[in-house]
Amino acid sequence: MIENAFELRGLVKKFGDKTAVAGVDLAVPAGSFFGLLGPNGAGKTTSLSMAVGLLRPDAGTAYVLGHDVWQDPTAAKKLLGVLPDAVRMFDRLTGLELLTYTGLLRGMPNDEISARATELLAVLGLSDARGTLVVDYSAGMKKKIGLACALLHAPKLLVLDEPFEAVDPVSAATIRDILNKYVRSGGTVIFSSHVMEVVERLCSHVAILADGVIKVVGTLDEVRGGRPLEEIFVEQAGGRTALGEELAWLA
Amino acid sequence: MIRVFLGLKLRILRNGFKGKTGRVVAFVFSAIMGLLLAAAGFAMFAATSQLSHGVGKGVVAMLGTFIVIGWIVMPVAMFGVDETVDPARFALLPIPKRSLLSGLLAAAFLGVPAIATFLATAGLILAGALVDGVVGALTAAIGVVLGTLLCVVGSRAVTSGFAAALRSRRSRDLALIGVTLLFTMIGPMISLGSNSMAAGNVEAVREALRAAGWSPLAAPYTAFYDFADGRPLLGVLKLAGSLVVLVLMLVWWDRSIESAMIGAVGGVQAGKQDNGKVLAVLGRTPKTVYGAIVAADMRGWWRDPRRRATLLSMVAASAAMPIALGVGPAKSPIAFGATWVGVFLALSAGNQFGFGGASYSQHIFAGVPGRTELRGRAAGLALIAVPALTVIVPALGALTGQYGNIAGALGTAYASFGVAAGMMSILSVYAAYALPESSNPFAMNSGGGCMKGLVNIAAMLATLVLAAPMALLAWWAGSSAWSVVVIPVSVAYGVGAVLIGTLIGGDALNRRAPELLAAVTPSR
Repeated sequence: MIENAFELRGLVKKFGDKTAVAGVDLAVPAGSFFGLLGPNGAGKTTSLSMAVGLLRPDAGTAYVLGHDVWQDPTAAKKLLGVLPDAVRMFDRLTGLELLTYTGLLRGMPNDEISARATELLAVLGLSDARGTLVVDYSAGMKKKIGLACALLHAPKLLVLDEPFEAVDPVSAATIRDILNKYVRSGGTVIFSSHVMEVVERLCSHVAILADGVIKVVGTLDEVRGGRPLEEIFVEQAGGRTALGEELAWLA
Repeated sequence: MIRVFLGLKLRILRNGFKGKTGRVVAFVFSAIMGLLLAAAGFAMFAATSQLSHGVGKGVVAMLGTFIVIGWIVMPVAMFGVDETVDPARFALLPIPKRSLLSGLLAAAFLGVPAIATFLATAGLILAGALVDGVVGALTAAIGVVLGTLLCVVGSRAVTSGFAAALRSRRSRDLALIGVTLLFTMIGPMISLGSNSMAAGNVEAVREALRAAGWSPLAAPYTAFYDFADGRPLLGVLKLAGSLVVLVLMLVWWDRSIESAMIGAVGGVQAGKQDNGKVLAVLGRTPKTVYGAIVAADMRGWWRDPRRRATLLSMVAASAAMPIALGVGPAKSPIAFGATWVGVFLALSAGNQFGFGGASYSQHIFAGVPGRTELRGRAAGLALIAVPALTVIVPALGALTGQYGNIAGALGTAYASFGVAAGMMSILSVYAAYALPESSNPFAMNSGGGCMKGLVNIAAMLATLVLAAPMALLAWWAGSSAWSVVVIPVSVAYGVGAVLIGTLIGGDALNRRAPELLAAVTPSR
């Protein structure tokens, strides 16, 4: 029997009259590389934020290896690595300082922190920028230092919101390698994206989220059913607006 | 864990100084000022031991009340709160709430104001020793620690509480009422105290100070006198009472920290629809570049939590100031109070480009002329401020019973608003600064507070001097028939000031648009 590393149960979030997430259930099997797909505004970030303890759900909860994120946040957050957005990082620290303080705040021993931080900075190609303030990093470098923060404590589960956004192809390849290695050695990854190519190349499992609910979920092959993933995605996301006579003035 | 938090704050502060000479100078300056004030405070508090117990206790009660109120009100009103160690950034870490709270609290103490307050009030320990030996020193020391904690926790609780309130639009009005109440309460208190002292009404002062000595505001500081006077139970009661208030403040702070931590995500996505009823008038602004800027500026004051917070606290401060000056036996002419109201309302525009941040680039792309830009913004603010003045000033006149002087005072208020708006048009181009990307509308970048305060105070003084002729005119006219003439003259004076200010500022803006954009863009 496969244990679930991550479970979202009945997550609901309303902002005023608008329902952003209308009951999301998702089981992420341990050892899977899970892609959460969805068009802009589908509720991907909202769902993941609720699932990692950043946004209080109106209903439902999430479990990290059996630990309730909202009942027992400390235990859940110990097993969880999350890619923080820039607002959640102490960007007035240098890359190395940020990793060091993240480790200290997680209660890790000093020598372990410095060994791992040095290794992570080297692998992610940030060694030269270790003494630069994170606030002066480029968008792609911020993604990478965020990933380093998420990996530092060797979590069992990685939750990444748009990890490949704004990352150059070389860095993207590095990140892919790191994540592949992590999954091969027993870790579980769930990430959100709307780039089909990345998802098809990396993921073992896929879910498509649209209008605040999970439309399709399963292994990559189950979901595709022999068709291109993009076709399935466009279909589930409600199709495209055909461009006819509009925008004739645009010349 | 506390050591980690302290180290983190120190490190961030130090990194902020790297290669920023201006910041270092500002910090050194504020540190020296803080130390001088602390030394003066220490001497003052220690010297109270040389007074008779009754008088000494009264003086300590008064000073203590000022300190605690200052701590709670100032950040909301003017300076904002140092968000170097922003709670939102700990949301993903497995830190138990208790450790987080104590860590944030410890970090909050690391700063010039907290340390200066502690050092200044520590003079009471010496006073306690002189008054009552070891017991006095000990009880005073407990009081000093409790008092400092109350100041720091109170200011954190109030600012993050208001921040949480302002984040949700539903409770916005509640926050407005809260801020206004705070201000209107201290205003009369200060003026009552000073006025009755001036009038030699010792008994009233004594009564007021006895009440203050009991309130949590000064109770921790005065407790040692009760031990010295052979009423230990009373002293214990005061200390215990302060402790209870402290715990309540901690609970409140704790709650709002949670909202700051997990509210940040929601704040961005809460794409609520503005029903637009209040802003319906905007549909009628002229369909020109100027009209668009007026409309956009008014919407900004209404919708952006940071601008709303700034404007609301300025409204509250503007109402409190003249009340403080005008209530009590020694009334000052209401025209002078009205000058404050006008100036304060315009002060909110001192960093008007900072609110929008990098979005100003849209105006650069569109090639908006500098004068149009500034005049549109001034008009947008005026459309809010002038009605507010028209309500506040007559209300103040009625409150202080100076009915005859209302017309002159109203004129003065319009003139001073115009002068201040003109001044801010220039200031906002030359002294713009980026606001931190935080969900807390009171947040500010560490180290910049002192400089920001100095520039604002200088601009405020200049404005008061420039607006003085109209205040003098109103004062001269008094309640005579001439006071009606003051209004058109003052309005012309104010409009003229705006035109001149936007002329100078607008030309500067045309030259400095890229520099301005760079100054207001938060470094990402």
